[in-house]
Amino acid sequence: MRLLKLVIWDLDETILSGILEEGDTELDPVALSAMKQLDGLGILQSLATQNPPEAIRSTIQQFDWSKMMVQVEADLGSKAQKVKRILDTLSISPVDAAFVDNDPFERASISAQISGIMAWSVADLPAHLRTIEDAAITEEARRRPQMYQEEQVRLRDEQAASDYADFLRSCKIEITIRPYVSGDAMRAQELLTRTHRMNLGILPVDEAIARLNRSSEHNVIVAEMKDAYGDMGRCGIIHLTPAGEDEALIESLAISCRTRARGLSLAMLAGLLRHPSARFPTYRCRYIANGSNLPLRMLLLGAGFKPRRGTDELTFSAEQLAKLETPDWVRIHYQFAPTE
Amino acid sequence: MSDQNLQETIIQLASAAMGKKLGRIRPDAPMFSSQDGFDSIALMEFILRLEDAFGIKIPDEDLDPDIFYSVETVAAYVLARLESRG
Repeated sequence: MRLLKLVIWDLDETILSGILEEGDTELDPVALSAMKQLDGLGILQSLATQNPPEAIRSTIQQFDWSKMMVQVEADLGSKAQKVKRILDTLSISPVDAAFVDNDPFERASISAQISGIMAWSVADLPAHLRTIEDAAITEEARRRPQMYQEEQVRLRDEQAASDYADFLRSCKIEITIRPYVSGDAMRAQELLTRTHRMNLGILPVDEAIARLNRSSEHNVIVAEMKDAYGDMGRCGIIHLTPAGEDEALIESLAISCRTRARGLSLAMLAGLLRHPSARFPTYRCRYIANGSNLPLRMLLLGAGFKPRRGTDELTFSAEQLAKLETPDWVRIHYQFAPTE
Repeated sequence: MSDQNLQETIIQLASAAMGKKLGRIRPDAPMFSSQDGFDSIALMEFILRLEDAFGIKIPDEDLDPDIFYSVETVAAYVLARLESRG
């Protein structure tokens, strides 16, 4: 089943039964129901419409969509350009997004211009949503639209700040590193499935989850992050397997892209490896480029992981870990016992 | 290209990638400090700019922290690659 991270809606004769410019503001009941379902599932929603911006602002206010629609592109220009801007701004791949428009020409046009995006009519939605609803969702998933709104406020404050480092200190960022517990299973699966750029991705997700669940909980470490703008929940996970007396194999590693926005991916990696359960003299991992995870390779390079020539392995030592400094705008806390 | 020109070029490429001025960075000082906050995309951008500027392809096994430690070490690597090309 493909991931669905984002739905991009058309407005006229899709969400609306008629055309806004002609004064029609009746909502399509199937579309309205789907919007509420998507919101409950934590799937981001946005609007791409060829109506004037001022008319759309009034419409969003009228229906109280300001929190539901995380991005709105409204102008008389190309629909495909609007959809591309939404995908770029939200850093979401077309393959994880769906465009909803009752006009078959528009659906075909978007599909032709944006490779990989799903294109549905409103009538298609209930069947697609049924498959998604069958999957359990995490607290992080439910809060995703809210987290996006919180991130927009943070970005606005960041842009207004005169000193970036002072701004980051004002965010009061905290990372908590703790052992994995069974209640983390769903979020672990979500992180290993949804994270593309900061994901070691050596194993197929199902196998990674199976190994993680068979492992001693002390070999799996979780990182949670929050700041003054909100709680981002569980943002990182590492699964280590002892391989001999002095070495651990990193079986899985996934770090949410939310850390990158704060320059914290390296601090989070260091935090995960510094948990008492994760301390080994040396670490080893395989890295295989999969087209998306080059940022992770950069993270491992920045941390000091050295390539073992002639292999796809990287090695790292406790000495190198000790050299990594954490920025002073983040506090890292360690919990030593699993809490359920 | 002289060593100094090579190092200045590398400093410019790193500055462009990181979107900030590195100023008078010492050639032997660490280029990337975890204390400043780490940007994996900026590092990726720097490597892509290096490849483009010097017409080289940096293989994964050369993504070595000893090579990408300082301007000096990056310059030495680039020079070796250029010289081996003949």
